Amino acid sequence: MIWTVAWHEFWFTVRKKSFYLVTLGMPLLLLGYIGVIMLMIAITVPSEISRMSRPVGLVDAAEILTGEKGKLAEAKMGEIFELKIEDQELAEELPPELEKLGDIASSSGLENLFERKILLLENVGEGKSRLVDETLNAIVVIPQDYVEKGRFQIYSQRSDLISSTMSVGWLSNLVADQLLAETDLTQKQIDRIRNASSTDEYEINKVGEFEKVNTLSKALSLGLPLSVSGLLVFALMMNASLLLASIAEEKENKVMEVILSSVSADDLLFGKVLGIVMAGLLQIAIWMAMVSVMPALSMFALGEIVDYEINVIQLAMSVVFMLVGFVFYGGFLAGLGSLGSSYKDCQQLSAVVIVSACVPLFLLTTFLSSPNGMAAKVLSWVPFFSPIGMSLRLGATEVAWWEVIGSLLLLVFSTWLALKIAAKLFRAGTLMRGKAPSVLQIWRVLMGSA
Amino acid sequence: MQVELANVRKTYGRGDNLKIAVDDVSWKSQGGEIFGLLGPNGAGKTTMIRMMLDIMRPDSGQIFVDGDPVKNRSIEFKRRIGYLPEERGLYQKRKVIDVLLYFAALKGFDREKAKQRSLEYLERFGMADCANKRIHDLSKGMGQKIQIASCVLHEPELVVLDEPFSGLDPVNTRLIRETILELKASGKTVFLSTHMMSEVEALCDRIMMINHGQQVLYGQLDEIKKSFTKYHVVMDVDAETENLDCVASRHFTRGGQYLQLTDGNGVHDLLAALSADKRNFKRIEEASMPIEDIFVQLVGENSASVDFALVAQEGASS
Repeated sequence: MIWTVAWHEFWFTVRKKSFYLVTLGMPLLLLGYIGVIMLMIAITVPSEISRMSRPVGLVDAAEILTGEKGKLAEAKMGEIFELKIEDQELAEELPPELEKLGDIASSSGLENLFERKILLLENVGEGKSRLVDETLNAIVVIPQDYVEKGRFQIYSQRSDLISSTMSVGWLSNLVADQLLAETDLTQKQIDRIRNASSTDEYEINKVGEFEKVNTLSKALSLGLPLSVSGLLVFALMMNASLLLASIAEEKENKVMEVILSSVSADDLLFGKVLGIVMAGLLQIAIWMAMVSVMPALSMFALGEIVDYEINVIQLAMSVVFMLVGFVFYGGFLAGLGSLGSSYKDCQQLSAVVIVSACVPLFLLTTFLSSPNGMAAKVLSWVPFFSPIGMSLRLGATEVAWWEVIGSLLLLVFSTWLALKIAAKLFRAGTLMRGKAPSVLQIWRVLMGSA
Repeated sequence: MQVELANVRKTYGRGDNLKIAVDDVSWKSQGGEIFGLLGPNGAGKTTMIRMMLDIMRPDSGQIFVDGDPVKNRSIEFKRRIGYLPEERGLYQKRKVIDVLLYFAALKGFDREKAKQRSLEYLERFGMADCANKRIHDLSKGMGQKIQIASCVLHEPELVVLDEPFSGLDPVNTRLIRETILELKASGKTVFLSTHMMSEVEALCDRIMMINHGQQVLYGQLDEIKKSFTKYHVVMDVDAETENLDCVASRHFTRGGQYLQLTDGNGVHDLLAALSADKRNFKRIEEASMPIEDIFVQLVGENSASVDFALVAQEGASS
């Protein structure tokens, strides 16, 4: 009988216009947004590149770059000089796991972006007319007192922006390189000063030995359960309204009494929750399938770039927590929903459940910084928070197996209890008419005295 | 299917708000009959039906189905009943055929057979072209017929109909009446809760009346109707019945003259006396009190307006 109700709920939910509008519309909306962004980039980037590729006027009053050993020593006044910028910083800052990205960048022609065309000028007035007719991007002045004060001057066309769009980071690097080159330091020492230090981290692994930390892999380990948690919350928010609408429909249409003469309140409630869970999972599956190109591509790319293995057990446990949690919250939603006299009432009552589910996400930093701390442990055991709480802990650290099993068993038991309580509320609530019941009435229903 | 309520009591609320919905009610319905549940609005009929169908449970007392005190809690029982609640309810946005098939599926009825019987009932109710219409596109009367079809198409053994005639025109009333009689003819037990006393007279074999939660009447309809009058025979007003030895008293109303016969005499003796003197008469029948009058007498506020010539409270207890 449960399956008859579940199938009915599932079938009529997935046939609703709102269901396939949301299911098909959401990815299309997402793709639409991406398309608009891509279009905007396609429109703005060429003009931006064109603007950036315009020569920059340079007045080197301090004669740092135009001195004898300077990088612009060979440049002539009034002529454009092409300077290649060596951006070591980018390569140095990449994590070891992403070193291949550097290779990809170098083979894709991105290096061309690190070229500057410089027009040496005697003074700002000399280049002003070029600024007006936009043949110069801007004029940068290295004042005589630059070494003392460390300030450049930028002259450009009037802009609506608060500050100039002219970036001087490259020039600052050039000047710093030049000043350092004039000392007795070796190139390696200069490079060390110029670039921030990076770290290699080691942690004691399961067998008690130090192992190099793969930071990206660790981030992804947390990312997967976080994604599962996100899906749970999203699916809960999307489908809670469907479940409540279903209950409200039967209540408002007065069908409930007929149904309760055919099935028990427990079976009806469980069937309803199961049907909506099935519809929710189908929705998620469709979304995953529709955007599967992106995950497939990213997995392929990550597989190429990152030395990362998915922890199947950890992922499976997160999914199990999500599924049981879905039924748990669904039971409460149905129970509370049946106490409302209209769809509006039902929605207000359901907000309590959804907010409770999200509590671990509000405390995300606690779970990430101290996954085995007291707060995280307690929250990952309390059934209201454990579906997301335990998933986060599983991603952030190694959780003792007895804790995972214990929390899961408690959640399963609580789900059973929630369904029983909800069925009781359901039985009483569905036959109630008029105004919503008071807290005292709800208590009496639960105690079996009303 | 036999149903018996034994000392059943149900209350709502507590303290000052305590309301006794059903108070120590006991009755029994034999299988294969039409059992009338009568009573004014708010008397406790719906509560009694809900307890009978295990939609709610009594505070005390027992409900036996075929002699079993917990049988009405089983899924097998739920599958063998059809229920038309007083507050009608159908999925407004769904198609007629989908609603009928879902209700049949909830009863564990075979889908193909349910489809076939749904179409048969739609045909019978003159709604053959409505199978794919949405419920909200139907009139109230049509929705009513769909609901009645939904509660009988799975061939239940026990059918509970709460006000099945409300909102129906005379043609459809007759259609539903015939359907109910067919159910009885095929051996089903039908519980009929209605305020239409003419339908009670036409359909019910046995009745139970409840007022303010208390049982005020129970038994075979014919016997109850007879027991509520001290007269034995009713004849037309112009019938020549004066100075007959077998007639103890006469009472005239617009409906006819009611005769009380002397001890030891029956209708046959009266007929013999009438024919011996060649007296004229147009109508003669056994006297009984209309159920509507009994209803009004027992639960009505204006009981003084009832034709008291027919009323003999002591008759009910005798």
